[in-house]
Amino acid sequence: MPSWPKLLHKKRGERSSVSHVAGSMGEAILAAALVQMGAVLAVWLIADTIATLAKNEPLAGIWVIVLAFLAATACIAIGTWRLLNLMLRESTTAERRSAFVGQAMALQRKLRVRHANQMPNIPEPKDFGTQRGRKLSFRLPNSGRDAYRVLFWGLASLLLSMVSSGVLAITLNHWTWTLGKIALSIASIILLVLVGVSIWWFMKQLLAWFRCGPTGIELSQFPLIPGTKAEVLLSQAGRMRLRNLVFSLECVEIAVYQQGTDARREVTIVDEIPIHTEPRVDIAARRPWEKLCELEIPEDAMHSFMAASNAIQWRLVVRAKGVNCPSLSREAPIVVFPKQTSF
Amino acid sequence: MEPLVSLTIQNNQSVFKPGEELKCEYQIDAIDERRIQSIETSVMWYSVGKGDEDLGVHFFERRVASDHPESDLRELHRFKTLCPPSPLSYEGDILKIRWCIRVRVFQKSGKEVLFELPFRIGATKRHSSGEGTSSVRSIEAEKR
Repeated sequence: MPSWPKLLHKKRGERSSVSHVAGSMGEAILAAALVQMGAVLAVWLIADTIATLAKNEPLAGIWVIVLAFLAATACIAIGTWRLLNLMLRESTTAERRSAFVGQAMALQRKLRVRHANQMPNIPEPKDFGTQRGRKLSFRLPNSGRDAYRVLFWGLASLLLSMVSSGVLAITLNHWTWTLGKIALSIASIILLVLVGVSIWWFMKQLLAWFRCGPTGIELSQFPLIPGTKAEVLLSQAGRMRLRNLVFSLECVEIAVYQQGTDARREVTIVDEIPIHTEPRVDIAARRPWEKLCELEIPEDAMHSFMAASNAIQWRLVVRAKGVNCPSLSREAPIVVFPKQTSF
Repeated sequence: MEPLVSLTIQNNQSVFKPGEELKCEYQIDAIDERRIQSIETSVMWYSVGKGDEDLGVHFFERRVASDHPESDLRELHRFKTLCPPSPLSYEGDILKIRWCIRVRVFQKSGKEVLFELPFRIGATKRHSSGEGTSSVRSIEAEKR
């Protein structure tokens, strides 16, 4: 029998009557709606005030406008803070969030006492922000692009809402059947459709964000050296079903070049070393899927390299196709030092 | 007439290990000693490929004629340095890292002549020559 969504939330100890994803999603939608409402109200007020002043008409009440504008700004600020807070909470564990704070505090100290790198043009392993792992020695930070997608669509829908509300305010202000007003009405309708589409995409990305939990990658050794083996622990949290999960080690060449006045960037995968492939993964809420694998850096592998316009980067990559949920693509850069025996 | 430079690696090898000593010597010919203003010698790496050129100088020496009025800059000159731990020589797809010894001769007339002797540090995988690489594909080309 299908379970109906429960609106009232009850929590007794560890148990909760509402699913964690549904609860977080509801909070996120509320926060996003608050931002949208504030943005629309702010732009409406600005557009209406400008239109009134342009016609040399008296303003309805300056204090009412100021108070309404303050309320709109508060809605945007509170909504944005809530949304960012939720995203951070859902994508990281409490230990990592605590580590972020610690890192931020230590940043100033780090910059002051930073020693010169013993290996020229090799990234400093300390700068990778590794933390102590739960099962293995080092935990790598991953750089998935899901957060950027959520932020992009969130900002796009916000900007479109602001523009459309401004256009709508001007259109509806003293409506007359003139060519200009009709053109503005058509523009308003198009903008409202775009607002709808962008909000739908934003919600889709937000849902994907909440369903795909954080990916954890832990290493027994960091940095790595060619010809050596290390243990690597992959863990994936969330509540989803994945098929064909591929965990691999990639080496990429990155080139930045000027073309006219533009700076372009090209990334090419030059080596792909499969570590583990899982045909089907079922991840239950609060029970992350884990796999301990062995990683071997080839004997003749090039070390990590970093210069102003060129780089060689090694990274651990997780890719999987989602069943009834978005696909997963996460990566964690690592550092490979030159082989010790060459010295 | 252009000056001639005889630049050689004394170790009689072209591949070095990091930390190994690199000994070089050079001699200038076919130019009057009074026409040489200065000579710059460097052991350096540079990048070749799609990206803008990066370079790093590991060893640098500049000899100016006015600083050595007694000596002749054309005469055989030796220098040595320890090879650094990184970057190692690399032949990739869109990036190559090459090491070389570069000698620049600056003439009083304003002319400048450059001589280069390549060598390798380390022995890493060569990607572009298709030696044992897996699939190679471009995944990103974006504007910044």
